[in-house]
Amino acid sequence: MLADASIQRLDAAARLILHDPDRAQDAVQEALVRCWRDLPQLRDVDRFEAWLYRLLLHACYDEARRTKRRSIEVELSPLDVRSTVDSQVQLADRDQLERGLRRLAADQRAVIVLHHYLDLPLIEVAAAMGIPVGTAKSRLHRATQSLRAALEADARVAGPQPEGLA
Amino acid sequence: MNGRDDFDRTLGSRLSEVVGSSKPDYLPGILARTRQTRQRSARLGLGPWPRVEPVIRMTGRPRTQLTMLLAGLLVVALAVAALLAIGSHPNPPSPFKPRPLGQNGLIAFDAAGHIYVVNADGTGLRRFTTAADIESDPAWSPDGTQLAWWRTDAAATPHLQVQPAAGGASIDLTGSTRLGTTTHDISWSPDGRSIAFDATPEGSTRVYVAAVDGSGMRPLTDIALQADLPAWSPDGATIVAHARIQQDKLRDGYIAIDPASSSTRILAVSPADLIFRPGSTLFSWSPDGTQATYYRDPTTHGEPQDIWVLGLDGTTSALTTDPDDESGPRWSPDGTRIAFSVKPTGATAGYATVRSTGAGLTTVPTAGPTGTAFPAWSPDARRILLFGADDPATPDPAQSIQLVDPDGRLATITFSVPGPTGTASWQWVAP
Repeated sequence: MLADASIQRLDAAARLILHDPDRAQDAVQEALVRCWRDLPQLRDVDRFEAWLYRLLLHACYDEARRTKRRSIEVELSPLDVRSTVDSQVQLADRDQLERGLRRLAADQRAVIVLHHYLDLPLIEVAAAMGIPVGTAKSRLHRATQSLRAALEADARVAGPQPEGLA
Repeated sequence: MNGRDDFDRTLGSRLSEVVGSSKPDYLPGILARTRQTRQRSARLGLGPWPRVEPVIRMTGRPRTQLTMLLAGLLVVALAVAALLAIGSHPNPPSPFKPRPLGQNGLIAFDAAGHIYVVNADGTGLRRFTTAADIESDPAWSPDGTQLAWWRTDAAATPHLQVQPAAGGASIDLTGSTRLGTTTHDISWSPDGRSIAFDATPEGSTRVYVAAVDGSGMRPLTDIALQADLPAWSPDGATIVAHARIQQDKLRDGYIAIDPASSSTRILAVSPADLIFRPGSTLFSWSPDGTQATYYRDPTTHGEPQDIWVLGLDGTTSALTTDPDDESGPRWSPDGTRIAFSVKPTGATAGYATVRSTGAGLTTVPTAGPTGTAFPAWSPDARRILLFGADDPATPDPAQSIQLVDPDGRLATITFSVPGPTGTASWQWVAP
């Protein structure tokens, strides 16, 4: 029941951090198995969510640090089959964001995913990453700026900016 | 609402568009694995790390008796030559002496994506760098004559920059090499000629060293070790780093690297899975170079962070064992104490000091609420630099820095900074 409730968010977060669906699946598997294995030793129930996200981050970092067996430049295709065709603008925006994320380091993607995708406040982002809140704040600031810079650089290469990037 | 706010405000929904909303289909496989996985029983603590015999790689063919005899004769010959050399030089090299306490120079810190400096009394705040790129993690050289930091360019590539303290052009030590994931640790060699850091330009983390004169960078560790978080010892002989050690499975461990030969030995291997992404230097050496303090983060056991000490013989010992989260230990320049951040569960954050024996745990008096970013000692060992917090209920930092006397004899100096910060370095000035 626990895994069923959390797996979708964990999987999506891992795919955003690792930018590789197969590695993301491995990371989520590893995190949930560790969660099951060590759950009796968790002394503070209030720390559970932060603890689970830290397990996921640890697994993602392990995956990201391993020697590449194949290119990780894998397009992050959504798993759902859309019943309607995306507008060209939405599709271009999504692809551009994917390319921008690929330019970031794994820990930069991690802080963005924790705060903006999982909607965690900074104090929980810090707890999940095992870093001081001040470090989380400055890292988020840097990561967001880097992502903006990467998107702008990509837009300069691609041509006129599509909507939503101003 | 400006463009920057719109970007932040819409980023979450845009990320959701990237990943979509379908549920993954591999849950049955995970449940099958958990059914085969034994849960750990609840217990009080992990205890000390098991001792590990140092592993020194030996390569080449097995030696014959004749070869060993020749090797022994060579050793004797070298010893005789050494004695003759010493006899001809009345002043043999003296043993390592710790750097003396210095005067307190400029404080460098990153805020709002740029590097700033301020005088030791909190006056004279000014920007040190001029680039439009994102700048972070400043670190003064041991003699205080140079400042190093990371610059992230428009393509999100980090560059290691070095600039004289007196000003002038900065040198890019890493050039166009895409460094991949890096913790941004900067560890200076004691002679100020090199900087150790970690990066993943080849897909797996390694410790690298770059020459400050811009002549290039080279790896120090094997890719298989996935080493990171390097810290150069005060005598220059050793770089201690975190690594992933392959035993029955990959485990966290600590290694000692000889920067001259790049040979590596394992100091200790942890019985537990640990997470080390501290965002600032993990290790802090004692001034005499015999030990390094660090914090353990046994996340997979749901246990708190604690302060530990690592010896070059591989011994590890805990300085704190309480339920609070303690991190960011920093050894004082006079070698007497270790300062660190404390975050009690359900209570406000703060700072404390403890003697290297683990005795004398003392709360550091602060002026107002503080955050949890790692502290920094002044070169004269009389003050500790701490990071302020807006709201005591949550250690979300204000944009302020406090310079406190841990013994409470000097008044605290507090000043505001231009943006979110969590990294600072204090310049050592010759006495």
